[in-house]
Amino acid sequence: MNGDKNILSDEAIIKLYFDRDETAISETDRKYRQYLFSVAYNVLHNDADCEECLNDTYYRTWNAIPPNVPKILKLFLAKITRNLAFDRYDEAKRSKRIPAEISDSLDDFEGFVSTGKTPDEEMEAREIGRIISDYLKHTSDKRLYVFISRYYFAMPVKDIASKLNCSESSVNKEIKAIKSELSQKLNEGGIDL
Amino acid sequence: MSKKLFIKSVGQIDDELLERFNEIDNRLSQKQSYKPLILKITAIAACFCVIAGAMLAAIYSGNDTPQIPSTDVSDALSVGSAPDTSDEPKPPIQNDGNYVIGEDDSVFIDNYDKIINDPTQSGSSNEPAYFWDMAYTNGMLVVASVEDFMPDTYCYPGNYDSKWGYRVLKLRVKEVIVGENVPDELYYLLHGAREPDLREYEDIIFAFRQAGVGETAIVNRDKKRVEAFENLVFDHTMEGSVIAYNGGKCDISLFDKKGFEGEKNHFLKYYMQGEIQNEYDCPVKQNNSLEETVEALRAYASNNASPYSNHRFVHETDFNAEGSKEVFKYVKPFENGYFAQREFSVDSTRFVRIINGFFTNESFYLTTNPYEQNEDSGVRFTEEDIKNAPDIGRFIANLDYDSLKPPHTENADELELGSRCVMGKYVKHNGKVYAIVRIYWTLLCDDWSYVEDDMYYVVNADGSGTVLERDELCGLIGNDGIICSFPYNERSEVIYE
Repeated sequence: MNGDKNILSDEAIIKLYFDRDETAISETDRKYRQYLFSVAYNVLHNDADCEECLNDTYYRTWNAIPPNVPKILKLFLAKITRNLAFDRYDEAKRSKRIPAEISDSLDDFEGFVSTGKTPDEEMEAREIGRIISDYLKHTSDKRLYVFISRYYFAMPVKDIASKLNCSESSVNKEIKAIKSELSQKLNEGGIDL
Repeated sequence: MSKKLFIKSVGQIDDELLERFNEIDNRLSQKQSYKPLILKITAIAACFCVIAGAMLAAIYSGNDTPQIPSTDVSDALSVGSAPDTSDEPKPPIQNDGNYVIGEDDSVFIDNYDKIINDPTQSGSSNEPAYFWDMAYTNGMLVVASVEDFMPDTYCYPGNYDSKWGYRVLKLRVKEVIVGENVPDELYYLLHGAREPDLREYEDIIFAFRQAGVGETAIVNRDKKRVEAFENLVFDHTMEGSVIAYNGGKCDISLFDKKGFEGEKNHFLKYYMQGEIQNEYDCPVKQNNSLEETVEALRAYASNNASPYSNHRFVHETDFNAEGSKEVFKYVKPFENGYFAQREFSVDSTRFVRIINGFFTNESFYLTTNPYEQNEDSGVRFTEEDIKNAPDIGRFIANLDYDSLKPPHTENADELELGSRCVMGKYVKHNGKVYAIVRIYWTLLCDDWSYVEDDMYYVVNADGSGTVLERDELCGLIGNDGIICSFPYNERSEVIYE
């Protein structure tokens, strides 16, 4: 059975990247594969796509470090994986292979977000991201945790409840509150729903 | 705003929020009793009622005796006592160290914990581990008679307010249908909604869905003390898991008893009387004799299916990896000490060794999820380790809680006690066994923030305890999950809902 013996520290792994030692990738995979796979899987629900996502993550990480020095390697990787996964999700949606969970999580916002398109999505995304950040900065730990688990990492409600050691209805209550509060915040920020 | 834009926007949130998320996630992942402090406003008035004093007074009073004749139990609690070879039925062991085993090693000795953990919520982790449709093993199937039942109601720690609780039946095993090394007597947890006095039935077939012993120590809710039982095998009695016989014939009067009525119209009608045929042909038929039923169950179980169930259980045989099979053999009930089955999910489980009612760092995580891997803590407690382990329970019981102050908090005397809990764990590290006790406090400040504090003991062989700071303890046992990392004197927000 597998244990966690001899897993390198984040600092040691980052040093391998800086030394351009290719074992950096295998060490990253050894330490974070399971976690990153689950990040991708929550969005894609397809192992082949997840595998490709992971490979792309490692490729991008190899190119990003140096010069970047991740503050928290796990988050650095998760962010890359998450974004790649959503890009693939977008592609899959276009070819009508829609995974369940992310659709479910976005369905939380049914009636909240439209299906229309707007121009300059990158700029808009940054602006909306700023508003969401402002909102989350002043919210409780629990609410933050639920928001990021659900909408950043597309975790199922059941898993969030399990992690928080509470019931699913409690998590759903948080989601409802998030919808209400965030909706108000976005309206105040002039964001058209 | 399109959904795609929303996803993109969420991806643009500040890194510091992800870092904060990561910190919370790390805290949640640690295996300790610390939980976010969430107060229910309606309960604030009651939240500072400390029951520890009452509990401690009861613990060691030794005045109450169980209904079953007791013998001197002090030897039973001492480490390394000789096995009892007398013919007398063994009484339940009263734990004269009145510690309460909480989830995740913790002992919650304040009412406050009732606010933090709401046991009425479904899916609460205060629910004891149980199987529903997710049994991972064959469990055990026996023919037994009920010799006696405890007069009191029992519960798991944190579940004090649960409506029903449990009753404890003492069973005399007559025949084992499925299972190995099953002892002659078992203590069986019966849901409190069910009639416990089943002594009128000569024989009862019991199906235990739990692989083995979940906990050996549970709380006597009426007497507010912990009782540790040898061979406690619990079960959430599912439909069809208790079938009664008299004179070798099925006695369906059982289904008129309190708590069993629902089975009359369903299990009896559809399965035992055969009104419904489905792919799970129930081997228990009303008109069959006890002997015929036992043979039918044996045959049914030998096909690795769960007996007379209308649900397909996840089964021990679903764990096909070689390592998994070894683990199931190792943790088999009554083979190598006691293992609790923790962290159930739809496709995985964890076995953790318990010694004297406290968890250890010997654990196995088994999964059928192809994206996960089995885990083995790598720790093995030997018979000698178990025999010589210092008694955490007795140490905790002798602690004078009121005289202990949070040692790292400035002005602790001026702050209001929010909660206090005590936890214990056996940790084996570098070949040595350490009995660790941790006391944890939350203290409320005037501005509705709170601070946390903790202290650690290593229990010595003579029953005394040595106080260690975190870094000293870490030097002994490595960075085990029982050691917290929250900073002392740092205020956190109290979250109301």
